[in-house]
Amino acid sequence: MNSFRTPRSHTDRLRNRIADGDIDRVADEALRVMDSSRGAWGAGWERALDQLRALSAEHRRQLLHALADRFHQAGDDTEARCRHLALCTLVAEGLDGAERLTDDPLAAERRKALDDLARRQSFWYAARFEVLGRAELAAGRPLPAPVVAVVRRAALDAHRSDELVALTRQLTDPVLNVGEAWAEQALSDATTPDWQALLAHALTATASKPTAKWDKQARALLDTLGTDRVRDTVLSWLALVGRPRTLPLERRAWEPDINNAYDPYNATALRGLAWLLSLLPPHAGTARALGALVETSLKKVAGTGPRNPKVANAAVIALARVDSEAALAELARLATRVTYKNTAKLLDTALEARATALGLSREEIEELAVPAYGLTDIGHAEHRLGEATALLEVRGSRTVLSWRNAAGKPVKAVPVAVKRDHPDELKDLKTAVKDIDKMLSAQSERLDRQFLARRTWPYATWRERYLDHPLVGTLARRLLWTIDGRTAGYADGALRTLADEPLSEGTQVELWHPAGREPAEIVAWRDWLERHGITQPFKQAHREIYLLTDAERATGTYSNRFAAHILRQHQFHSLAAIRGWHNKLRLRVDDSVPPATRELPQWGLRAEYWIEGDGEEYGVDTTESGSYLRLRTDQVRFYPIDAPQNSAHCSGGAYAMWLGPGQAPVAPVPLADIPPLVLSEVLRDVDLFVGVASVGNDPTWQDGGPDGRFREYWTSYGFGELNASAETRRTLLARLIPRLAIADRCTLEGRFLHVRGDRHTYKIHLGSGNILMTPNDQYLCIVPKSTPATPGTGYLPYEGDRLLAVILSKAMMLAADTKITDPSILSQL
Amino acid sequence: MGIVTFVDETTAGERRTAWGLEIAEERLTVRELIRRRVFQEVAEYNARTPEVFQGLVRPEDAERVLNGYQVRTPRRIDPEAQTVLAEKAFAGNGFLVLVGDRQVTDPDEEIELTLGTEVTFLKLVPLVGG
Repeated sequence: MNSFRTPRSHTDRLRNRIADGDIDRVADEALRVMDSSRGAWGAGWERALDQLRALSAEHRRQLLHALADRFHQAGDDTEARCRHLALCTLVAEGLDGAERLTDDPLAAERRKALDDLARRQSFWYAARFEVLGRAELAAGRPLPAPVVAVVRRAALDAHRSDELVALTRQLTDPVLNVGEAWAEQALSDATTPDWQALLAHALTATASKPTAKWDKQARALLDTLGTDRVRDTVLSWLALVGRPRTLPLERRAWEPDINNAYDPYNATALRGLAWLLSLLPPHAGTARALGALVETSLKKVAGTGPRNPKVANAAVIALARVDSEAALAELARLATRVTYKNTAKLLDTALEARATALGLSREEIEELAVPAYGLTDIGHAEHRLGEATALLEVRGSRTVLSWRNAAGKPVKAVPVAVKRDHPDELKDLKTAVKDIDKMLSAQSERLDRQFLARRTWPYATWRERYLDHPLVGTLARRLLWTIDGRTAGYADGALRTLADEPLSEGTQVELWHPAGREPAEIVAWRDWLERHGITQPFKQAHREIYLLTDAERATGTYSNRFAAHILRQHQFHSLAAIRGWHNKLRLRVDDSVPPATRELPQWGLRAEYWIEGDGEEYGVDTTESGSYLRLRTDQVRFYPIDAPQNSAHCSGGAYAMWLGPGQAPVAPVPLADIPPLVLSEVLRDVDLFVGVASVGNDPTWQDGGPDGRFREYWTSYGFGELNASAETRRTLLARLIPRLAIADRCTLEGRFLHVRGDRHTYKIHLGSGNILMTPNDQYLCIVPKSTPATPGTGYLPYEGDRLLAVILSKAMMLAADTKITDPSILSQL
Repeated sequence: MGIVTFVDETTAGERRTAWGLEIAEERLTVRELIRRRVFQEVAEYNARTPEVFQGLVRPEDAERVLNGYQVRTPRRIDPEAQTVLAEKAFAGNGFLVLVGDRQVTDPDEEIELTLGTEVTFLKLVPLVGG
């Protein structure tokens, strides 16, 4: 290893060697220079190179061979070999061309090294590897497509290296980078010059928005190729975006998961293709494909985050430019799904712009954007295809397609005649099923978020957009509403009160929420729903309510109800985003970040959940990229929405308000002044974060995790007081257990379900599902099987409470504890 | 001819949309009841072959996904094989069957199916020691 030297001292030593005239020692010194500079031929290192190039042609030739003789020193690291070859090439460049061809001692090695380099994502521009490509071209050999790809990728971050950029300009074939499924398909489809030109034009989409000039050229190309043909072809390409790479790349230790990312060069073409689609006549398939492109491009990849926001944003911009119902619907759907801030903002802007153009509010445009997808009445449609009839029906949260034959009898399968005579209609129907399913879940999420939106609707508008809307109606008719202060649900073909009296008139409608209602009323509505056999799309009547506690009245401006928990940071982070909170991942770096916040503009408030990274040790308490694996939680607070931002150091410490010049600190709002509905919904979010992301949920953490640090926390979490969702669970068990065969062995006591087995009596905690055995409260570890080899039982359709199933399963097992055969359980009994 | 309502009780106090099945007999063993349900589900699946099978038990060679079982290669599911799986799952507490307000545990027990009998299937989770 070289001692550390400056470029200047290297230059001096090289000058001395050259003066000695010993070419072998010059070669050795030159290689030392190369190692010292890590092959970065920039800054002061160029001077060393200049000296070598200043040698006579004869000496340079000798030096070239001396270097070639030392090629074995490079070992088998691709980068080191390429460096060595680059040095040779730089020394040889400018030697008389004809002679160079006969005197290219490492030509075969160079080709191999380039092929190896092509399995990399990129290389550093200062390493001057472009000279290898140049040498190949000078020798009359075109570069293989994968090599072209790596050169282009490297050139993207190399605006300071004119040579590299110049080389990429010479590389026009293939027009796209190989190695991705969609690009390979595009290259094999684009056989004519016009198609090639289309792809080349797509690659010029380097701005964030298309210019008028770009559009004009694109239109000219579309006219030549025909819009329908372009649409069909491009959509077939887009369907392949996000597939695994056809040529996997070597991932280096510090690199993100490049094999699941987009090729950055091709990403520009994707952006261009998205813009291009927005110039075509509106078409439902286009909107669908662009929506899918947004979601595919925002899929998270290890070490990168969202795969390619650039492409996602281009697809949003394209959707915003299409004036069609389908595009607007897609924007509205994406607005409920996308959590990546940058793209979410663009969606917001697009919807705002649409709303302003129509003179409506943002919420209204989202309501109006929901298409009926051909449903004629609520969640139902019939299509005649020849003799047969297809029935589309929304059942719960999914859509079912069924068939009747000519005689009107239900048939199981798609009638043969339909397959034969109406293949296109059949395909459209199947797509409609998928579209409706997607939209149903998006709308269900949107409605779930309306509790804090303070919406009131004029009765007629609400009927049209909610209750009687073919698609939204399937959800709205399973929810409870407040009409002029009277609560009503929909049953037996009409809106009805608790006493089942029909309600047919009204002026103002709101979404019903249990906060602030009498417990008796809530229970009555729950029974009403059960009596009418209504499954709610999300928890409304069974929604957990969080009321102000005496402890919170005492602390005044903050709640400690969810403090001192240990959460898995990444799980918390994505949950928070889904529930509309803003959060920044905490990294083990010297930086300050704001708490997790939820803005409540309708209430002029901002909710904050104070968190900090946990642990010290890099790689144990953090991921490879330095983000904390776990967070410690603290207070929940509320501030006026325009209060200056609080922030604290990533690794912990007090939160403090960041004041600009002339700003005075703003005090938190006392919890007693927060409207009960807001308090309840915000705390429900936080309870969800803790309930899902707490390490206390992980039965394998009985040992307390790293160094046993969390043992005490784990125990208190696993056997402590019940949170609201556990209370809900308790109510349900109380209803369920008497109906079971093991009813006489079970009792509900406090926080536990007691199960009398023959060996012991067991206590199953209703909050965590953890088990203690009598008499000494010994912990019994039983966990859900991750890959059941036995016939798997069905899934739990409601998004929630797997824990209840776990508790029931444990109770069934332990009530018959003499029949247990699993040795890993028996050993604990 | 009576219609028996099947309900999949879920764990959030919600109940999945109930669906009816026509049963000609007035008395039926539990085993036969499970078989009817499985046959009905499989027939519906095979008629449409969607990507996801949302039935009582997981077919062989299917992966569990969020809302059912993803059948790896779209194919017809064999109802006989599914019935065997369902019986195994029933015997091993894979799911519980409640008829009206009572859990039945013996597959050969005969049950009365009066009009509007509600049969609830409660699905459980396989466990191992940790």
